[in-house]
Amino acid sequence: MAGESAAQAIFFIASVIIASVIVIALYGVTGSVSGALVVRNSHLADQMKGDIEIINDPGASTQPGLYVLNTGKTEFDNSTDSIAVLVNGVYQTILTSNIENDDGDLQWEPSEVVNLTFSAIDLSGKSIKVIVANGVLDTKQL
Amino acid sequence: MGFGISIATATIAIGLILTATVYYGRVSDSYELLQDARDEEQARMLSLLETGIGIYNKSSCSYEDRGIITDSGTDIFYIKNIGTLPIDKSKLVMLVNGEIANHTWFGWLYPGKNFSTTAFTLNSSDVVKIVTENARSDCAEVV
Repeated sequence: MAGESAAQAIFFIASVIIASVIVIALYGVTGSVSGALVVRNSHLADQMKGDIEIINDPGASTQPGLYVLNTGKTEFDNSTDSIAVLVNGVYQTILTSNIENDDGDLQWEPSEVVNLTFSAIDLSGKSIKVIVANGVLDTKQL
Repeated sequence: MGFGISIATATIAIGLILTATVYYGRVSDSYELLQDARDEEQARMLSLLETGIGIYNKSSCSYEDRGIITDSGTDIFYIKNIGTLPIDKSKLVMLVNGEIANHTWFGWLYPGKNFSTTAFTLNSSDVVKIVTENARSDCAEVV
């Protein structure tokens, strides 16, 4: 009788321990999956809200730089190391990235234009690709 | 043993309910954020379709979409809203010969309306491009 009670007690404790381990494992996995979903959704939302457009005039005889208009709803980082430019598929080092029509807060906000300049490169007739920090990009043939 | 299994099942059930409760709010907020972003993107696409701008006194196209401004010596040309949405004039970007030219326009340009400008010194063969805040544009050449 005493042996049977002890066995039942052991089964009971074992069941509770196993159940607890399962719950803790599920909690952790669910937390990990939901965390990843939240991060991915946030990234996607940023990409959907953001947009840029190269507005250079392909008909102009010279290209004083690369004009990139923020046509989205969010602001971007306009520092030179946050923007990547490919000219005919070749990465270019950006010298300056000034906001042309800044409202004074030095943030690259919607409807503001950044002028990207490079050293000794003629952009006319070239295929240009501009990519900003969160992967928003635009391409244009000048 | 049956009691133990019942307790274990109840523990798992309570654990699942707690897990769902804790994470549901977070994931739900995240999907709302995504939905809002999608709505904003669609609104932006729609506004792109509804926005249009034109350089008014171009008489014909010389190549591609480039129109012509007659080099009359007055440096005057007209900018017309050819879309269905009002345009904030202060946010227009003007390019003369590929370079941004500053302007002091302000106010709204309503659909079908136009305004004239002599703010830029134009000579024959100069190219003029005007861009709205959502990158709709028109261009013309002075001949």
